[in-house]
Amino acid sequence: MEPSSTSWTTSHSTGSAQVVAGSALLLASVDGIGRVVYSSRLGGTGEPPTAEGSVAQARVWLEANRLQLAEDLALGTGPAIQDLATVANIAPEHRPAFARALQRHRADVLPGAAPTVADAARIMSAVGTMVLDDPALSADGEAFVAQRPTR
Amino acid sequence: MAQAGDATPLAGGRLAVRGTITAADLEALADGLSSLPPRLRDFPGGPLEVDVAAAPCPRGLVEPEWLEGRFQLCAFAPVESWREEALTLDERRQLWRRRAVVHAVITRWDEARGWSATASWRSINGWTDDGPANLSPFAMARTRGAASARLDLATFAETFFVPVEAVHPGALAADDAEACRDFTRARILHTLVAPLGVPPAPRPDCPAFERWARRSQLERLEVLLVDASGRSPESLFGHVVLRPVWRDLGGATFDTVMQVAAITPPRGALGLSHLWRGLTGGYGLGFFSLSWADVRREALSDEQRSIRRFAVRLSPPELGFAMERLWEVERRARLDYRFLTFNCASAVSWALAPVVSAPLGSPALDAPAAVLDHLAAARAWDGGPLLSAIAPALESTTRRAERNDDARARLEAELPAPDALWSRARSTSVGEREAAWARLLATTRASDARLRRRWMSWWAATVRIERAAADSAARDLAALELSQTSDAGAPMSPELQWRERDQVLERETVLASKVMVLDRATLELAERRMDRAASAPPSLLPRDEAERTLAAFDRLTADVAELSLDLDEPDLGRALEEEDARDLAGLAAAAPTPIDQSSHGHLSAVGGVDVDPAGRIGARVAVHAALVAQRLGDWRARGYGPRTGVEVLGVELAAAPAMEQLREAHLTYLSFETLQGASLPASALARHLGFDARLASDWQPLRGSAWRHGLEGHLLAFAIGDGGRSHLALGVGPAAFVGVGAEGVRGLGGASGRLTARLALPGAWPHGLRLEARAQSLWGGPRVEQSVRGEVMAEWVIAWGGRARWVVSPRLSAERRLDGGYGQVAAGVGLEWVGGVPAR
Repeated sequence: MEPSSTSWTTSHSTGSAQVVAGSALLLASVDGIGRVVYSSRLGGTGEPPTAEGSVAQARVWLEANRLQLAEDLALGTGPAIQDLATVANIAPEHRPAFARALQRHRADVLPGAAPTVADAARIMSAVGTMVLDDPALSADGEAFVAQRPTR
Repeated sequence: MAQAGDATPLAGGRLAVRGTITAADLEALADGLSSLPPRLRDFPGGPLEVDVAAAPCPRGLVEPEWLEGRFQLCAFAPVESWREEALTLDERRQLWRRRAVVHAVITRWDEARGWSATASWRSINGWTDDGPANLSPFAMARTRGAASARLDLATFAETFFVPVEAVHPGALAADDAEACRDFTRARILHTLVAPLGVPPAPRPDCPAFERWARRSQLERLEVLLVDASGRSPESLFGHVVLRPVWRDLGGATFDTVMQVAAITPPRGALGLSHLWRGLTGGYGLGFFSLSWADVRREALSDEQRSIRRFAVRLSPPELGFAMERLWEVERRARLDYRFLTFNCASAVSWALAPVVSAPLGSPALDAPAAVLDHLAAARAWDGGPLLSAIAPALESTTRRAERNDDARARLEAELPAPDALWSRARSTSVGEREAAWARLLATTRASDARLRRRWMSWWAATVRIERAAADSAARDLAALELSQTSDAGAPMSPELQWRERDQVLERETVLASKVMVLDRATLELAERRMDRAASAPPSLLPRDEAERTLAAFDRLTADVAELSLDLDEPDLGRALEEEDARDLAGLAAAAPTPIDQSSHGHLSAVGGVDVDPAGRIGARVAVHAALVAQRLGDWRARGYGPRTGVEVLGVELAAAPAMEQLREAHLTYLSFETLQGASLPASALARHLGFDARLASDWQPLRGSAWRHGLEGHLLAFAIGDGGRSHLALGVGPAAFVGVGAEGVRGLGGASGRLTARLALPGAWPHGLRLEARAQSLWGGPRVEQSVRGEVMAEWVIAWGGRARWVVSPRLSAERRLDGGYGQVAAGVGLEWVGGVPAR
């Protein structure tokens, strides 16, 4: 019932993308951010991140979920950890171990107040490295990598 | 070439073409008839006579299309269209000649069968006598379709039976084809022609849609009701969002939800014209995919509004239809927003109408809860209610903090720490709290291993409580940043934004190359959030205090994460989550079943006796009708939470029929009352302060000023319990009226006091006892007018078949004018139907 609450009030900038929502892109983001997570194996980290890339999406996700992620890392559970588990392809039965691994790497995966695109690339990649290095989780990460061609 | 005056028979005499026309065109016209399924070629009426004029016109189609029963064409002139870019001029001419015949034949069928007049067809674009609800330039296959439902059908049939690909295979990418953007009209057209024996068309190949819809993983569709709030006038009735739920993402917040939103100018540019357009139309309302994470954060954290969920009961095919419809409406719907009569809730109902088998009613006031009442009253494919509540609701972080504060207090009774330390952990000073946490952390680490698990529950509760404080601090900081942001240029007008959006969304392959939803947040979403934060109550915290709160939250969460690791319990996170879920479920189990119906469209009657100022006893009847009437403490599945009371356009009349007297009348234009105090860790006083305000007119013939028009409000100090179903509130505040009566017109001002209480009674339904008392002292007349008025009543819910049906309310009221005037006493029994709106 709220016009302004949901207003698409943009934007002192000019990009047409900012007045458009595209549902297909949301879906793409899950896979795209997964690729950023495992970029150390899939390649692409050397490229400068573009504003149109999955790294930018990851940055927005991190900024939007920063407090939620901090809470989840304290409790070892929650929607932000679920999201990361989804993009990192973690099987449901391995999610408690994934949560504890994230807690151990809290300093590496929790962004500051205003994460940059470079921060997002580093953090997501840290999650991927953490998964691949963890004997309890690496199979899930390897499965994701195996399904996607390297660059 | 056929010459004017000759009538050339085609298609075995079914077509008779007269005018100047080439052989190729004649062939294309014959092909047009062949484009239709065989059963449709045998159209009703005699041969289709077609006149062709020599002068060119756009697409070779004349408007109006018919003259004395003959279909009118002219020489072909092309019209710019990106879908036809790959076609040669000759192919374009062929395309539109074929389409012309389809148009004419379908019109013949429509005249005979009334297809375009059916509710199913008209529901797609929302056709009424005033035209289509859908004003998108792409709502119709071409502009001409917007002239009538009949032309909507005929023009759609043109593209459906003769797509661009029919004359130039491969002209369009699969996702750009019309067939991938008009699923609903194709489906309903088929239901209309199916009785003729026309088989269904093959399903189009639409990879982008299939990737999005993931139909094999689709579980259900939910309607989300974001609770009403007093944050701003437009939030007074709540907000509605659609959410498809997929199995495979396991609840991840990357899920898409479909937000209904109007594009408006930036808040800074708003004025009276904004209000006027908001009420009377002029802003476009559309559907926007957002991430579930965005919507959750905005509602639960930024705005502190809980979200109630309702499942839409759809058969598996209907669920697929719903996804097709959502896909289309995001791309091809623009509705005219009107705050009271066509808003987000109306749009959701409009979007669902062609999906469900039952007709959906329309309330007098299109408020979200009222629309949900009508959806709940509709029957689903299997005869069940179309809408059913999903428990539990998603709590705002403040609501969750309050619940965890209770849980924390219970834990403290079992944990060894001094009371003063617990008290400091609740301090309003973040420094004090941090000092307490440091000591409690040391105590936790030194504690008996058997107690460590309980300590973790305490820390989990503390993190959830501090999260609410962190959300509040983050919102305050955002508002501060907004106030310091310089304007970087002129904002884009809503119309320009729409134009740009329409163009991009219309072309799927272009859309796919854009960065959309998530990236938009970089500027636009952040700005919108700050914009909204600016409309929230003024910041309670200065910048440094907000920053300290956020820093403290970071340190606390780091310490608790470390504690959690030290405890070395592999499934601790899940155990803590389950503990919190049990607490929530326990509260839900202890609560009575809510009244299903919202408080919209309220009507109640009271019958009883009263004693007039002369001491005569007589019968008294009263009625109360309102667009919305919910009182504090009401327990409703839809509508407002129990801590909020709202009345909109209420009329209450009391009469003594035997004496042919109208006793009193109350007209409430708008009243709002809330028992939502400041969020934790505010002081106890701030957490128990609410307010009310009422804009109204009252009439009492025995008063000096029989009519009073004006405003009164109270600051309420309250205590609350039973999840908001019990309360006691006491308040004082100003009152200002214009009095009109035998003493003339005069301004009256003064003070008002209010006592309101509700005690929830045990039982499966939300029974209760209420007390309401008000005292007023008003200056401005010949003497100070002082009066007190009180009412006590019981509310008893009568239910059967698992649903509340009636609320019966025996009551006793008394009023006394203290400055030597009248007094009256009344007793009666009220009756209110709460069994839902009539099913259709």
